Amino acid sequence: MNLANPTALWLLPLLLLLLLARGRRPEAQQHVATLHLWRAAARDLVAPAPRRLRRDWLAVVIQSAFLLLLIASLARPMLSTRGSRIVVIVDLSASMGARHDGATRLDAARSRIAGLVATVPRGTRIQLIGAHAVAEAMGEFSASDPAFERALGELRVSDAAGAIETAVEGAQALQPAAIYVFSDMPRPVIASASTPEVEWTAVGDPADNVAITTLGLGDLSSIERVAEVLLSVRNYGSEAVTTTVTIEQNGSVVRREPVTVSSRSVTALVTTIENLPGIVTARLDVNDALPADNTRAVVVPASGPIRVRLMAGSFFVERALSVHPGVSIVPAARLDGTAKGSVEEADVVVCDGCTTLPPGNANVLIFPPRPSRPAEPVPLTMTGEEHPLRELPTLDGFAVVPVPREGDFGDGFVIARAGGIPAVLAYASGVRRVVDLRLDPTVPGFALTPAFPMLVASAVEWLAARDRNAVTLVAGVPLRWVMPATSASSVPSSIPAVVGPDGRPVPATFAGGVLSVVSTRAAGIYRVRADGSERTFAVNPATDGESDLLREITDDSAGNSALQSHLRERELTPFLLLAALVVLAAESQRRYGRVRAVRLS
Amino acid sequence: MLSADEVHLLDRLVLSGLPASAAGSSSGVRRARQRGAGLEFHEYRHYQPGDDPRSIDWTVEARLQQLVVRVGRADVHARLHVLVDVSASMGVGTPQKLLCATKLAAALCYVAVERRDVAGVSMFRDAITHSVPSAAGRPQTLRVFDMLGAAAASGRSAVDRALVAYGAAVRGPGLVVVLSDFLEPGSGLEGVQYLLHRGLTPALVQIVAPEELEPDISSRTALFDVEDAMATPLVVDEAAVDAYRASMAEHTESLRAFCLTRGLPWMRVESTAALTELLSAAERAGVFTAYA
Repeated sequence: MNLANPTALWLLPLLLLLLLARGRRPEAQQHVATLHLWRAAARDLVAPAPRRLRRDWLAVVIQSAFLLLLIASLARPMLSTRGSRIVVIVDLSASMGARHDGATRLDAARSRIAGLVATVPRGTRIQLIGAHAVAEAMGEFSASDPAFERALGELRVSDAAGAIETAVEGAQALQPAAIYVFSDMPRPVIASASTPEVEWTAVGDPADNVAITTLGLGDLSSIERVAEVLLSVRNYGSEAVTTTVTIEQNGSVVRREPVTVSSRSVTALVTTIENLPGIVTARLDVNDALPADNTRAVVVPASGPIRVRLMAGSFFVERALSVHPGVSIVPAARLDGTAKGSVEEADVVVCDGCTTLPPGNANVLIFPPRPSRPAEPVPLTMTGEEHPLRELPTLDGFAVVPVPREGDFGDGFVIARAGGIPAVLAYASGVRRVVDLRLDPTVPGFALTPAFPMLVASAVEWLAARDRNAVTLVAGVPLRWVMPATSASSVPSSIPAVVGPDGRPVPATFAGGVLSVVSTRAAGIYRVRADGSERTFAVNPATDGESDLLREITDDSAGNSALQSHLRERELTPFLLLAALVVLAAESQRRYGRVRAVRLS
Repeated sequence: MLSADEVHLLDRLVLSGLPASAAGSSSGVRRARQRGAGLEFHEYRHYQPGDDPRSIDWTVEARLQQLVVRVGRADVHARLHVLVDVSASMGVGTPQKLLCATKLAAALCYVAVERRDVAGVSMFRDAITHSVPSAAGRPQTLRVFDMLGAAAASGRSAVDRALVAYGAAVRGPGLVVVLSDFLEPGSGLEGVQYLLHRGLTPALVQIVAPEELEPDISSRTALFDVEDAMATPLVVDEAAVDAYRASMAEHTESLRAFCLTRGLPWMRVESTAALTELLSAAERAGVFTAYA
């Protein structure tokens, strides 16, 4: 409850005057022959004020109550009939950056929020939540707090899609009196956002928009010198658009040409670029409602041969590795992981005849120790489990000498069995990928077939994990990188630092060799610096569900005026005045009754 | 002091209930009631404590088994003492209670003197302030009227103390008519008992003002004691009036009961009463009787 006119409380000292007046000397005076008979009958009102007041307590209480009620009514107390905490969820997805008549949809939302705050009771607590890829709590303020207006002004549109439903569910867990959502999305038809306690305010006007929806690289080969870039431009508008597309690689323009895209259709371009590590960007020169989706980037990862360290490999294994044009064999090392000379970085370690995984964090292709008496050859049978290794030509029917091995391989995949025994396995051991070929590569037969080097090549390519760390993301999607080892037995010596597109550090965590970056709400090029090296990844704006600005937006907030009525303050002045009149009537009746009784006696 | 009409009313009255005085050679109008040789028989009456045992008629006792005394008749002087309270409380009321007291005192004195009785008037507050010693004859009336005409209500009253002081100075028999409002605590009852001890016959006349019987209080009122300027005023309101009336009635009843149990004349008059009402009340109380 609060007071609309608190200055009226300055009248409270009048109550003291009332109490003092009770002790004032009466105006009437009489001289009597003796006070003896009066003392026996009358109350002693000349006693100190507290005794006087105690003897006349009923009149004091009634008159004090009347005065208090009168003063309270002048102070205009306002009572909120429901809980005084609300949640305001603001959509900060990419589409809220769409402009119309110079103002963005977020500006429109701010204006509607300001209008809402003006109608709620001053003492209402407002929890402000920004919804982009995640629900971000911006703080809790009172309706009259200037800090709320500042927080509202500091809201920024992201390039990510909005997680409004998640934000609403989280807000409902707070059990506020009401939830107000300001978004350019229509109210979803699901229970969590359709409950009566949620008021959905749609902001923004339909607008035409063109966006680059796809910028991707074709399959990159470590030996090819060129690569293909696929570009898609979608026109979400109601009319055809002619624009200029510019594709750059590492800052140099690769292609620039005009493109006409019909209404509600897509135009695709394929461009060839040099297979060089770096950044490829595409840009539309168009003045539409949402500029953020007119630019897109993709990172071309570093290519080159897969470096393989062979540890005590057999002839057939070494031969299978050497026929792969994308494989480079680095100097061999002993089984204990040491080397004769300087140790070069290796993407994969091939350990032939190893009982356990070699030390270090490099991915491993392992052949178990062979028994003294090899078993009889049995045909391989592929299991059908979905795994990249399964894409190689079928191994069904090839006869191999299986080498059983004890030990659990966790959640790994069994690619092929030999005589019912797992023969080709792929699993993860910590951050390492492992391919376990439980067959004897020294026995002629399978090792001499083309299937064996193809199996080894596929295994090595999968182990190289060149596609494990995504270098191109959509805004809002967290980055998760397995950081490569710089030596056979180490991880990055320092925590990698991540810098965002604006050059500012971006919060990141690094644990167990995995780098995690959650804050990818802004599109652009991010840089990861570790141990003196730098890698980049690109974050592109979300276009699915965000770039189509012609979507009809209906505002149903007007139908929820009853919701605000629950928060409307009720002024208690009429009730207080009525109570004061009742008290006055009671006092008058009491006084009249006493006078009447005196007169009748 | 007394108008011609008032004197005319008084001429038909004689003081009654007065014990005879042994002194005096002049004959008074009243016939004494005492037994003795040469006294004419007047009547028999039942024995009362204090009667002279020699006046008991033993022959009646032997016959009727009842104690009776012979009351003779003799022409002796009666002695009247009038004590007038002139304290400040007697100045309350409209007209003042003192006016009523002085008028009644003058009437008593006039009747006594006219009937050749001995009368004396004294004024008191907390002690006897002025006094006209008992005497007979019409000049006594003038002396008394002069003193009563100069009376003014002032000072604090102490009825007991004044009656005791008076009783110590005189002795009975005689009728002592005390004219006061008797509103102080304890109100003169000890003094009255002392007068009885001294052989006097007290008669109490309580004079009250109508506003003392029906106070006009309708709001918070501060009450001041006229006799004690230093007393803390008492603030009362209309709710206290009922209780005050009850206290007043109880106080008056205690005085009446005191007199009744001792066979003493008692009357309460209002200060606004006319002389005829005062005389009627006095007759009913037994202070006066019609002159035969």
